[in-house]
Amino acid sequence: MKSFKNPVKIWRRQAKIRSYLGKVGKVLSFTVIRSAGLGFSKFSPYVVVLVEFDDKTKLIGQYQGIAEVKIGMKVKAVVRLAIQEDDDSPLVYSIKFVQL
Amino acid sequence: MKIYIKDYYQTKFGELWDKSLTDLIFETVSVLLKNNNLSACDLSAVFVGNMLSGVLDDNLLLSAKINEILSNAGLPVIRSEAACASGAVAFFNAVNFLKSGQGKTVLVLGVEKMTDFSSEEVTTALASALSGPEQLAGLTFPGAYALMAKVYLEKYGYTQEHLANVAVANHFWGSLNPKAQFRQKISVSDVLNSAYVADPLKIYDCSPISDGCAGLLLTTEKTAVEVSACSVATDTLSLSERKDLLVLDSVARSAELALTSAGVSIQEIDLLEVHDCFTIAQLLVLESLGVCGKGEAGDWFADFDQNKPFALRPVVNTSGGLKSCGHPVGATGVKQIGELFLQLSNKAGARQVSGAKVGLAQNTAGSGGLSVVSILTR
Repeated sequence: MKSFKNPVKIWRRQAKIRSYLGKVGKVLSFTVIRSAGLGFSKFSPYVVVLVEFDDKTKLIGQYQGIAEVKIGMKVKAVVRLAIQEDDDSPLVYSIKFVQL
Repeated sequence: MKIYIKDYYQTKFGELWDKSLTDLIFETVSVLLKNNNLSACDLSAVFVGNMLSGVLDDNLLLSAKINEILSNAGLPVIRSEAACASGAVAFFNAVNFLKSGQGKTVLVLGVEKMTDFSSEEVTTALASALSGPEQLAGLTFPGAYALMAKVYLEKYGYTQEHLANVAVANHFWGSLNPKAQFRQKISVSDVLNSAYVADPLKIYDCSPISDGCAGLLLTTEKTAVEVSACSVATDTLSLSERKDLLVLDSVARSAELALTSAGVSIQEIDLLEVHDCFTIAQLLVLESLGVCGKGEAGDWFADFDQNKPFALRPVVNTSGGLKSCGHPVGATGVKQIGELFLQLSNKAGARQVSGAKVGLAQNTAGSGGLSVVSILTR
């Protein structure tokens, strides 16, 4: 989990996510992660979706909507907290999805 | 130049709490050298596949450690890392080393020590073979294959029972393999009643966390089993970059290369050892290899009958597959080729397929980012 502790690496990774904000797409597939890795276990179970945007590019991210997720469902890309290793670690943000 | 397999040895796969990574390598090397009246000086090189010793255990430069086991013979010892296909990539390197005329006999090892760590730690370590965005989404390997399984079931109208059939068959074969991690037979309802890991995949759809080592002696001197081909191909690391979630391009490409190189068609293959890290993986590999058409593997495999286990041809995963034999990730690719060697030299005991002449082993890395296909002929 070294990758989620280094602020420079986090900045480099997050610098690109702005372009996804507000993009709309549909769910191609999804799963519910019930056995997660370090740092993610405290959030499990959580839903991960594969989304195809209207411009045909695709992205994998967590689904944070309230409605039950279904294949073909319309979703929108938002920025949400992804993980914080511990109280001294930086906050890591990522693109997640909510129902449109 | 023709390459042959001289011998094979596999440690027991499983939770081997009394054995370290080095112990597993030592056992494999010692048995192979002793049984063949060889000393380290008779080898030209050693090729070893291992994924996680650096990530999990601060344990790198296996080359020099293996040299210590080989009484400091000073041989070239080359490590390969390609996630769960590390073992078959080591085999690929060994075959090409011999083909280039640099030696006469080499040792190929695949080894992994996983059970000293919690399932969370292993899940995270394995996920280092997912893309950055996938890791940041909290995706796991069961999760990546679950994304494929969800689409497969929905698109072709299959149910979780079609996935469960794969686990039941592989446990049947594992019950006949004394080196397998799990030797109990299971039923479809055992699979369906187990807990979800990543929907729609349940615990019994998933290969286990395992320790183990497998080793092959390769030689340029004629033996009963020839290595007819070994090919590697790659695909994108990220699932989101794939054109079709249900086609494993690396598998199709590596199979096409190997079949062409060996001069055989997929219909001529008697035995398959394929990468069933998850039940869905085995079905997608069978389709990507061309054993079944697209969307047909679920129906094809439903015909497997434990009372007539040799009836469905080609016979698949007589080792028990990753599911039942265990999946020490760096060892798996070597074990698959070793199982074909045992079969083709009539040493497979209760699971012996009579009359088999051509076998194909397929080893996948990650969610399909790399595949190795090897073909052995008797």
